[in-house]
Amino acid sequence: MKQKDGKWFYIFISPWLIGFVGLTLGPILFSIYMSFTNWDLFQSPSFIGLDNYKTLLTDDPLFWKSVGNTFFYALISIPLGMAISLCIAYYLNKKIKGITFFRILFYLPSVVPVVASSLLFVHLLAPSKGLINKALALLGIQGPAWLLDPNWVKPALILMSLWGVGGGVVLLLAGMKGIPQELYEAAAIDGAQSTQSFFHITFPMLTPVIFFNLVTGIIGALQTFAQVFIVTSGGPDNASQMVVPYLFQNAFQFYKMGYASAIAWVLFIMIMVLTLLIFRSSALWVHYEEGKTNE
Amino acid sequence: MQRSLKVIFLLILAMVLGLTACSKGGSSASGPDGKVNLTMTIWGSENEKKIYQERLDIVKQTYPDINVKLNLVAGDYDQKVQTMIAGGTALDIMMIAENYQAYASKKQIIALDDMIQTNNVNMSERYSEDIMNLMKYDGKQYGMPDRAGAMILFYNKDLFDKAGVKYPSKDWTQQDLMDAAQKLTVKENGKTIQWGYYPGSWWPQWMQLIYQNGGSLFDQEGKPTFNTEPVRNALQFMNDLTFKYGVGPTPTEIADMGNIGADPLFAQGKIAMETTGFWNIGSLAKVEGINWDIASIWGETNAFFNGFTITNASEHKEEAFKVIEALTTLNGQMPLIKAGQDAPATKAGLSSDEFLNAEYGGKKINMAAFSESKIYAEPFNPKWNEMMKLINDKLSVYFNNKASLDDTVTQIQSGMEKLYP
Repeated sequence: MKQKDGKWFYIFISPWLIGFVGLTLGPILFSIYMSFTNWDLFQSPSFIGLDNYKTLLTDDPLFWKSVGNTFFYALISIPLGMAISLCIAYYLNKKIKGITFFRILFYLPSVVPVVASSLLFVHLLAPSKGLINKALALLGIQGPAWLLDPNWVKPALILMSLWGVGGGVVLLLAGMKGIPQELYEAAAIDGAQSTQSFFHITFPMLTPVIFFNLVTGIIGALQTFAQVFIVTSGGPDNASQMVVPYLFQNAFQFYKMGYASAIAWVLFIMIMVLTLLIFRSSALWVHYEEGKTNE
Repeated sequence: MQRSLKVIFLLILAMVLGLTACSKGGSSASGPDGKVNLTMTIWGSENEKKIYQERLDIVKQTYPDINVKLNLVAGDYDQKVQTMIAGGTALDIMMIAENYQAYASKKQIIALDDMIQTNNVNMSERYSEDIMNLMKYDGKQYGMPDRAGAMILFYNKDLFDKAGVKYPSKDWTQQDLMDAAQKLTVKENGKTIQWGYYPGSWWPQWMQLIYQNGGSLFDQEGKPTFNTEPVRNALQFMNDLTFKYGVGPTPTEIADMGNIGADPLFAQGKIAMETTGFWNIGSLAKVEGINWDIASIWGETNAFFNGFTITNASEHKEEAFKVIEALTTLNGQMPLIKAGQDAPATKAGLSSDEFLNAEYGGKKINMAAFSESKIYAEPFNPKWNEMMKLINDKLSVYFNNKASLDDTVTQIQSGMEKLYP
């Protein structure tokens, strides 16, 4: 009986397995090999050993600039986005009339495709006629020429990333709804203030969701592509160039598929190491409610 | 359990291999009745596809045994065609533009010289020399140019009349352009409401100035020459237009208008002159209430072109050549000319009545501007895309007046020396 189940399991999972082996695993393995060659997409590749990696790591300032930009972006946009989404989720969890409307309002932006929101931000961030700088002007601040200024183009992209916090808000909100009411009641009886119960009940109970948001946020931020490609094309003078658009350029515009594969693997290792570190650290700060149910 | 697992994995492997093997199967083959099937890729709109189909139908009258299947590639043409080639999809004829050299250097398209000779095609009768040269690489002809419109000067007649400036002519110089642009710039309360000219930062705009100054991007030996007087003067001229004389919008002003291009600004009457390609004729024909015409550029300029090439993988190169030869005769180009879609590359096309007397927006314009244009030998090379990125990265800062000319040209020169050792 058990054996039979096993067979059916593999039969039912085979469509996915075939797709994974043929469309994902195959190309991944292929790209390892390609990263050791000078493949130009057309002519048959010749093996050049570690040359691509050597050039990449020691003789390509643009690569390091794009790595620096990517990490700068991730380092600021992720914590900022998480703090803001936690804040929003906290207030959307209140029992106020018409709260559903506000929940929809905050989630709506994350449904808008990146391409559309990117084009929207080109207008919002215009130097003197954009709404953002007009609002700053009301406060007496002269806003920068965001997308044209090497110092402000990354903050502009970070600002854009906050547009999509709604996705994280929904998960946090669901997490908040799942926190048993008894905990708050017990805390209230013990005389806890609302800030105390936030930091001692809400936040610890939400850490699994925050952990999830952190991991997916890091992976997403390090793979940023569309915003850069559409809004800035990496400019001005590569001040907003990031790793994945740089990889794309090398592969499909400069015909350096081997080199691009090497970039992909270096990026993969970076993401892998970071994710592992966060997983390791999770024991210290992620709180799981074990095995108990409310009933 | 163990065995069934193995069997299933083997099955999966077999299916994956089967799938990849299937994709290798070619579609370009001889039919049973001696007919030959070819595949041709183009980019463009559905409307353009119709025009190419009409042209292929005309060719078919001459070669009834050659079938050409037209494949309109939507989206990123180069990326998709590359994938098709790398994936072994059969392709015989490809429409290619300025990056044909990348394909030629990677041996994906073939030199046509031998077939041109054996088929007795008189190239210098068909094309002007500068247009013929547009598709040469390493001294060999890699494509039959099909569409090749020089960049032309569009001007707003009403704005010229109002400012009392003489209409542009091909005898103009850069200085004439500057003078006219200054007279055509209108300020109100310190704000510019009408610009004389839109220099922009697009490569055809600054590169033509370099060649007009007698410069180039490479010397005879192929060494980069970016840090030279003609280049410096051209770039300085561009920035003077915008920042010294204020006759063109600055990058900030352009961003404030929502990154608007020259074409819509010209159509709105906010700029008096712009330089761009044939396509803008079609757009302007649909705009009401604007009185415009075109003139040749004041010196050598670029051409926006594409042509037909034959892939190295094609099994029917002879037949493919017959098709592209026939497509680039006056007869084969006629549907393109009649549709007013682009400037034909051939001498016959450019001087045909259908092209010269076509009406756009209900009136005739100076279509002779195209055949009167002089086109310089554009510095296309297999690393064109990489070179353009290198240059544009630095120029975008310079054209925003945020870097010195010295730094800009020395940085680009050293970058190019690294790219072309």
